[in-house]
Amino acid sequence: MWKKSLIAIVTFLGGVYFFLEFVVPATIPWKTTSGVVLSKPTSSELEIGLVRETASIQVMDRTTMVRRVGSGALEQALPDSIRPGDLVTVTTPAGYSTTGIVMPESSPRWVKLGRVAASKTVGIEKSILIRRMRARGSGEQVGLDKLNASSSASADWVQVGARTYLSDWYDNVNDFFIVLGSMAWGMGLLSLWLVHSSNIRKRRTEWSLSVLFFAAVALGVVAGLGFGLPEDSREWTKKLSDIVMFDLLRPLGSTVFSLLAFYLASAAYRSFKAKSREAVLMMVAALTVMLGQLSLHAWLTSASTWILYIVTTGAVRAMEFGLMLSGIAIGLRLWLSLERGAFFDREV
Amino acid sequence: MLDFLIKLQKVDRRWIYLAVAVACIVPFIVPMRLSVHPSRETRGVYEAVEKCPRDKVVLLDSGWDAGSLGENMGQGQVIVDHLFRRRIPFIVVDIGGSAQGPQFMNAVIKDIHDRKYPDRRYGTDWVNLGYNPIWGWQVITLVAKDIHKAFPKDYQGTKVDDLPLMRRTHNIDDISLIYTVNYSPCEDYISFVHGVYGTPIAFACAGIQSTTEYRFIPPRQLVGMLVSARGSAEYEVLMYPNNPEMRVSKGTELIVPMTYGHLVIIFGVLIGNIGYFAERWKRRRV
Repeated sequence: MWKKSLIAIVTFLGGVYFFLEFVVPATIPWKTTSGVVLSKPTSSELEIGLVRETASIQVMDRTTMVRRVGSGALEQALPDSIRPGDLVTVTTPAGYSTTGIVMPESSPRWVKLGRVAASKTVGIEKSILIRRMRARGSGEQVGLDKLNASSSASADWVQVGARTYLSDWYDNVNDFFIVLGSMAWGMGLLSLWLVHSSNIRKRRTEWSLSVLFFAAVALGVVAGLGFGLPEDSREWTKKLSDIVMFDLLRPLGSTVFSLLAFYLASAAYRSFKAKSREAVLMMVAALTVMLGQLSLHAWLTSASTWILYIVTTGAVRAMEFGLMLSGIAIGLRLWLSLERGAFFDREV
Repeated sequence: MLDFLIKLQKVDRRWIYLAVAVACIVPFIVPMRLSVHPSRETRGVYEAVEKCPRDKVVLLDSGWDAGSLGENMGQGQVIVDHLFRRRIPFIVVDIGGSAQGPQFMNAVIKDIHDRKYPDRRYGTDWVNLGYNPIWGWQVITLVAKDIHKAFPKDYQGTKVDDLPLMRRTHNIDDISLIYTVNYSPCEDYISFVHGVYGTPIAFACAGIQSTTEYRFIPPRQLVGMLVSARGSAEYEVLMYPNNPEMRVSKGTELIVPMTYGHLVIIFGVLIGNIGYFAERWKRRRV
């Protein structure tokens, strides 16, 4: 029973952390200063320029943007790559130009520009969190030494304020997932070991294939010793590694995968019949897309592209939306230990 | 005649297998060329690489293996060729793909390096950081924040601090484009890298997987995508518009057998339906 409770508690606490991390701001809002870094910070102080919005410009296909970088040079900027704090000159297709600092509320479709209206010096203490704002408004925690500062060119846009502590654990929780994932690999190997050794001990049907499994694992482990050696190495492990990789795995993997072409052709021939309106619709779309994938004619590619870009995009987005909703529902059930089924009804 | 048409839906599957085999093998014996028309998604990738500055790196996430070699190998070849040609440094990683990914990509790089660009140097023009088994945002986020922490050594066990290219590459600010070539690329790049940092992302994937990825192109979450062998064949047309003899990637090699193989499938579906309608017509008459 205690194992089940432990899993439920860990799952619940993990869920609580991610939920709070998502909804609680990284810094206390009323103790946070947001703006562009004006001068090189010292270990105890940071000078922030408070920016007031002066223009909001819609980005069209022919809108151009030029960013002024630290050295004073100008570089072409794409709407996707501009960041809060960038000093840019936006020129509309009509020829109207505006220069200003990109604000965090900007998006690739709408750029909001501003200018420094005032400056504020913030004292840096241990409880203070510095978050650098990135292209889409989501920030990342940085140290003072990583900040770009300028009063006449692009600089970093930061939010500086008293931390709410949840953000401190983010990297640790991330590391925990990486360690957990690595352990799953070992668990997989252990599980295979248990299943196949039991097959051999009890002489189950096709137990010889289990022997083959252990032989393959042993070969893989020995060949792995040659992984990473220089290309011109004369070590026998390197040669064995190359043989396993390029003379065994490569042709075997390609052969197994290419068998699909034969099964696919046979299955398509047998099952793709225009038995109903829906089947006709699906068949016409599938054949058009398939023809578009070939190098036959440009207009076939265009028809296929229209289906893939417009029709499929809508359909996949709708499916994704449904999947996400059900994912949230299942996630909530797991989080609150309400889920019942083959695993959750049994004692671990 | 009607009976013959009805029989068309009952062709022995072995004839279909034979037709597919002939369609795929003959182009290897009798060299043929088809005109290739670069699509919008392929142009997107090409233009993104053309815009990459030389002082930043391209992150090449390559997690393909023998199973999808026919589709992914060409996609790796063309991008490496293009990056070497433009002398844009690149970093190869394999985040949660196949464990064989780094070795297969190494073979691709070595081949292009030896054949076309022998002056490019490992450690300066490219590095291969090897494999990380965790698929998803955890490692991707770590790479964006501190690539040295995610990959402290390269695939040969050399400390990354000892590689000149890595000494000037620390986080996402030093990466101008992420190109992920895999049977099914990791979509977390879009949410956790493009969504946060705005770094352009390009995918290269298997044809069957591409239908679910097209939705990211219209809103420019993906700058482009190479789809199956067709994508790499199209890319080579863009790279060498006037030199067909320079187009030697796996994609160009496979586009003709792939086209004929697809035509056999389409032909099979058509004759199957002719047989089906003939039978239905006969039943109605009776």
